Amino acid sequence: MKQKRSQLDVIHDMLASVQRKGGKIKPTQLLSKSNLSYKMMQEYLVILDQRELLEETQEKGKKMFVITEKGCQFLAEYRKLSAFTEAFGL
Amino acid sequence: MIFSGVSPQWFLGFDALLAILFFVITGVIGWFAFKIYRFTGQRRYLWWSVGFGSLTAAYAVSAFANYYLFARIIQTVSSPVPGALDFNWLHLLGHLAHTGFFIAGYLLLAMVMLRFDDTRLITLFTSIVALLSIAIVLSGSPLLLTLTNAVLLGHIVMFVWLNPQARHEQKTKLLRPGLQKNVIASFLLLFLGQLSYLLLPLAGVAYVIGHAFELVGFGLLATNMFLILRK
Repeated sequence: MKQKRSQLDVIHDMLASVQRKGGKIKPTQLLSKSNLSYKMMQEYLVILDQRELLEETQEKGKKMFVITEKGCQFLAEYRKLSAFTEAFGL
Repeated sequence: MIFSGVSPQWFLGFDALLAILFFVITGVIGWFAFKIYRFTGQRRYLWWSVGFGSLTAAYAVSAFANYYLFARIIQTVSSPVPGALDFNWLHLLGHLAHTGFFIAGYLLLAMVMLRFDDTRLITLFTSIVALLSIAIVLSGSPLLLTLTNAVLLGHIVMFVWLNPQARHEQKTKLLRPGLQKNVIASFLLLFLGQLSYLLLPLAGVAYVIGHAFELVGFGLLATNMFLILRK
């Protein structure tokens, strides 16, 4: 049985997909790479936008998502954050 | 812990130093939980941060009060002039803040582990904490605070023990079981520390043993934080 991802894991997977694509990604690519339903992805995009981890831009009239500096900082700190939440069972 | 007049003479001053150490450790844990809240916006990390922040404040008051008590004893020994009148007020306020911060801190940690995340519930518990703190201080028995802390810590130990087990039942794989064992052991030691304080009326050395348990417990939490932060 595959383990359920925590919110931290999902945020990490989404941001890591953007980073792997050079810092910006199309919505369809993000949907397939983050392994979420469309509805769930929309919910997480709101969170990522509110927390200033990811921002929406337009490039040649097409919607793109760009990772922010805070998003890169999250990726750098993810292992520590994940270890902390796991240690305390949060 | 503030227990005026029950600490062995040779231990006076050491308790203030230990309170400063615990202040730093709980402060680092609270700060790190707040950092996760800033990234995720999930309120349970905020409450976890406030819980440890509250313990940090409790130890700050404890360190100040223990140092003040130590300084007053030194002053009394060197010149036997009665202390200032404001001492009683300061002591009462310090005791109230210390009691309130301790209960609020442990209660919040227990609530986060139970996955309570309702602001109305937090408000209700805050009111209870305030009333309970006043009642404990007015009762004049520090052992009531210890008993309350022991009950809360006993529950926290049970929750930290059960949380990973519940996750095992969901067949999730624990990536760092060592860190979780440390957390369970540390809360267990903090619980034993409170039980030791309950034996204070029987022997003053229970005060030292209680601090020793707390030192090892917080030492384990500090080790955990060191292992996490160096990743």
